[in-house]
Amino acid sequence: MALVTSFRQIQRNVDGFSLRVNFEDWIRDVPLPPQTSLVGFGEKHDLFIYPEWRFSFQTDCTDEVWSGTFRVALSLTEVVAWFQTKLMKQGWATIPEKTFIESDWASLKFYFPETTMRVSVSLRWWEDLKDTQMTIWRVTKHPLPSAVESIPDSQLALPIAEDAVREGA
Amino acid sequence: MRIRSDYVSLSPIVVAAVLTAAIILFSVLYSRTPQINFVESSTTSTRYLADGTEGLTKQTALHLSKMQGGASIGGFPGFEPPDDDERYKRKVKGEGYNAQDVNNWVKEINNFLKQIVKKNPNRSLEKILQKQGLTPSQTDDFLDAIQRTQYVADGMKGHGVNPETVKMLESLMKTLGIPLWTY
Repeated sequence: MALVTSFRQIQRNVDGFSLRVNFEDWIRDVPLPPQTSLVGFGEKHDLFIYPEWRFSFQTDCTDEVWSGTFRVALSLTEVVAWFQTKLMKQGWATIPEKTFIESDWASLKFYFPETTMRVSVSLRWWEDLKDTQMTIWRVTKHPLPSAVESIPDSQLALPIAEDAVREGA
Repeated sequence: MRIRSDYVSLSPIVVAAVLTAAIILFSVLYSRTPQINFVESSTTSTRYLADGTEGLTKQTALHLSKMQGGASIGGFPGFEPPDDDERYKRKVKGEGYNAQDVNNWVKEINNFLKQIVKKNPNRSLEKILQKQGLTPSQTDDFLDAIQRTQYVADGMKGHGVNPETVKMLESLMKTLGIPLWTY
């Protein structure tokens, strides 16, 4: 699990909560190409959407989701190649049947073997800005242990109650 | 003889009564049937969609395109801002849109998605797009664009995008079987 130095904002969601974090705190196991920056919206491009670290409580698991939207002044082909090479080096494997690469957009999917981690990289080439926009989601599914398994053995005996019985006797 | 004469004189009346009853019954049943008109997809004769769905998905793609630099989404034509409107061009092509624009565009997307849901109850958008003949790649692009739109709109809540508009989009995504993130 990644640690953040500080967070910008905390938000309650319908199914959990999320933290907006600083760009510098982006997860290291999904590296970004050099010169990557946050996407700046608005006329002056000064409206930033900071990366999000989210916990979403599902019925059978908790989804931990890291997401962010970035841009880099590289062609789409270069960015696709960069992610495919770099993530593979880090141990990620591609999901070919869910990967699509077209002339002006691409959707790359990776999984980390023997874990529940998956990464989805959505890329789009912006002709007018001459850069590639990236929206990335890294999802980790944390399964819920069963009710019995989740209680440590030491807590099953209810020691306080036992003490009370002994004192009474 | 008497019986035969009655039978002959009554039979047209009986036939007419039965026909009238059948017509009334049919019209009552027809009026209670959901009025969904089906159109044939251009790709295959076995694929059907509620009438008007193709137009609605095309409109949805057009509005999604505004937040994707005017790019084509799911193989549909992209949004082209008017030539004489430089400010609008900058908003769309140069990603110069603000929270108010996002609010308006997402509201429009919500309206189209609502109509798609209404016309195609209990169907996922993925299935709808497949039935329209979109390739797996185009379908992925379309759904991806909705996810990115939700992501940006949610991120802009702090800058003035109405949380209710985002909530509505998320609710429609859930109804249409689109997760907030792909796993």
